[in-house]
Amino acid sequence: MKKRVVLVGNPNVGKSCLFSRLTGADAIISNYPGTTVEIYRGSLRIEGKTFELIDAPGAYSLEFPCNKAEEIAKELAKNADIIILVLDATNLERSLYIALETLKLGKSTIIALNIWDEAKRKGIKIDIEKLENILQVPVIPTVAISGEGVNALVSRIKDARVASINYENIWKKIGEIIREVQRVEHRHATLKEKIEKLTVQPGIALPLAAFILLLCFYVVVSLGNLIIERLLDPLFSHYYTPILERINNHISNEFLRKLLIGQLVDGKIDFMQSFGLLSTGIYVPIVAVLPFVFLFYLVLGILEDIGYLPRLAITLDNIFHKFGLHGCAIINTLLGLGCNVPGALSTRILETRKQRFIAASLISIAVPCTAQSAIIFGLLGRKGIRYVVCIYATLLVIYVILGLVLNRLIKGEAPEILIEIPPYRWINPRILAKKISLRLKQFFVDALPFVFLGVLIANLLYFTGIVEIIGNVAKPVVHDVFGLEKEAAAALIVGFLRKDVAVGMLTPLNMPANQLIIACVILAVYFPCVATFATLLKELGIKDFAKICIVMILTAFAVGVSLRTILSLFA
Amino acid sequence: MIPLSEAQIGKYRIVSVVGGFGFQQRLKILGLKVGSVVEVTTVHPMGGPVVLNIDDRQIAIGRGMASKIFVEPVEK
Repeated sequence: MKKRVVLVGNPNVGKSCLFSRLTGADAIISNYPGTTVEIYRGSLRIEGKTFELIDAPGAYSLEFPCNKAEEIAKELAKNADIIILVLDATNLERSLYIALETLKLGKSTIIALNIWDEAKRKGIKIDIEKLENILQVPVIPTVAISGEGVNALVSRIKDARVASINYENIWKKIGEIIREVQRVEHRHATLKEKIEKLTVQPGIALPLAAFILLLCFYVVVSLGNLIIERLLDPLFSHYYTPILERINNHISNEFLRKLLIGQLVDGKIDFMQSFGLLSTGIYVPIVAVLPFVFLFYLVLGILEDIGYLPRLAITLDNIFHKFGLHGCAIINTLLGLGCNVPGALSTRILETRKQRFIAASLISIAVPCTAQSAIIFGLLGRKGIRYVVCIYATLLVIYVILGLVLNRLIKGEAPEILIEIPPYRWINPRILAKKISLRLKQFFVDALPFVFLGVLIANLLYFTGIVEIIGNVAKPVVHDVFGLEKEAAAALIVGFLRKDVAVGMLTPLNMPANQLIIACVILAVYFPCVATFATLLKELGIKDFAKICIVMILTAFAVGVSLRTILSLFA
Repeated sequence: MIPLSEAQIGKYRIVSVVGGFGFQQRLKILGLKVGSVVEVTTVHPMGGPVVLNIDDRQIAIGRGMASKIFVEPVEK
């Protein structure tokens, strides 16, 4: 059995960064507490021996875990063979609490005193030798971001030791240690600290938040469209279409031709309407979706890394109270806008069952993922930006109403926000690039097979004529209640697999804008895709999962009917 | 002595903390313990959080939680 080495420490002290330095494996690194909610595993070779290195979520306390992420950290620490305790040199006093708790577990331990560079800049001096003597384990100063001290840490893992520190009162002991080893030179507030204070002033924070979010939205949408129209579309039609046409002419088997190339529109291959594996199956993920996914994660990554998200959480905190949540739910929501799966997983940082249920419901119902948004931009953006705005405004209204209602219905506690606001940090391009490529890789690995499957099923539904049967069966709901073409029912079925493909299926139906808006909104709210479903089931348990499904169905009906009524007033 | 939730911008010393054991423990870990000096830098309107500076760090704490922390002003 490989020995297990576990990284333990407070949130946002650089565990994941150290993990990726030590293993060369990827981990998402951001500048806010609670980035890591899952367990990352990698391997670490030291002098011919292989160890399993595990990156645990951050915790303030192992004895008193206050959310799911901290419970996971506690379990991992208990089952470790060796613990690398990651302490924040700029925040030693707070770090010592979990340090003493961890040392009490009686595991071989070594300490990485991280963020050492920032501590030096802040005028904090820590006597390493004294700290080693008191804690009885090796202490190595590190700067995980630049890699400084990481080699020294690796070479000393073999020196990890079991400490036995005696104290009656943990707080007294921490006070003693701090007095012994730490000296702080007073400095004047820097410009950065002034900005840090300024950006959470109420008068400035709210307009600033609105400006930043709208700017991000604008950048993603307009740049995304630009990349597609000016770069990818021309490239595709110039180089890829001729290849497809040649393939099309060479295939004699009609079924195979329909499968790969799909239905011809006016005798030509139409990337959004043909629904062949090689036509639509390639075009949707690469051309229609990828630019937006890339830009979204670029913008999100920048916000994450400079440390803006916790400040956004504070600014919006009182709004989220109305939904039984607190400001941190905006972070879950933003992650959900990228992809609902990490969004739902990130609710582990919320404290109670009620909060996790509400946040997971809001994300899976009212927050469209980027892939879905991309096709909405493509489908409705051409008809006019007001239709796109209309869809997002509707989803926002659903988010708010659902939040208000669920807060009333779901019993349980709704603890308030209690968050440490990290300092603003400059973006490290290497880390940002790695994070984006990691998220894109997840998109390719997790999404691409489902896109193909979705396109394949859509194709077969049309090819076999089953689409007619489904349409007739679903007519009482789809047509009579929601006022849509009955063929839209097939899109709702494919929507289980992939929302982007499902929205794409609306293209050939040539529905008027009003119907398209209703269809897009219903596709967003009625059920999440299968990947999100699986995540919800795992995170919430079968009982709450069943409840959330009921909420989804009710919401879809309520929204469909009211939207139809409202839009008919303008028609 | 006033609850932190009613404090204006300025420096305060924590006099007492009420509430459950877990809650008190968590506050202590974040440095909010009896005797600590905190600087209230922002109080968000409409029941929003109180933003504190403590040892060069910023912490945001909900108003309800802040009402369980009693402070007295520190003379300049």
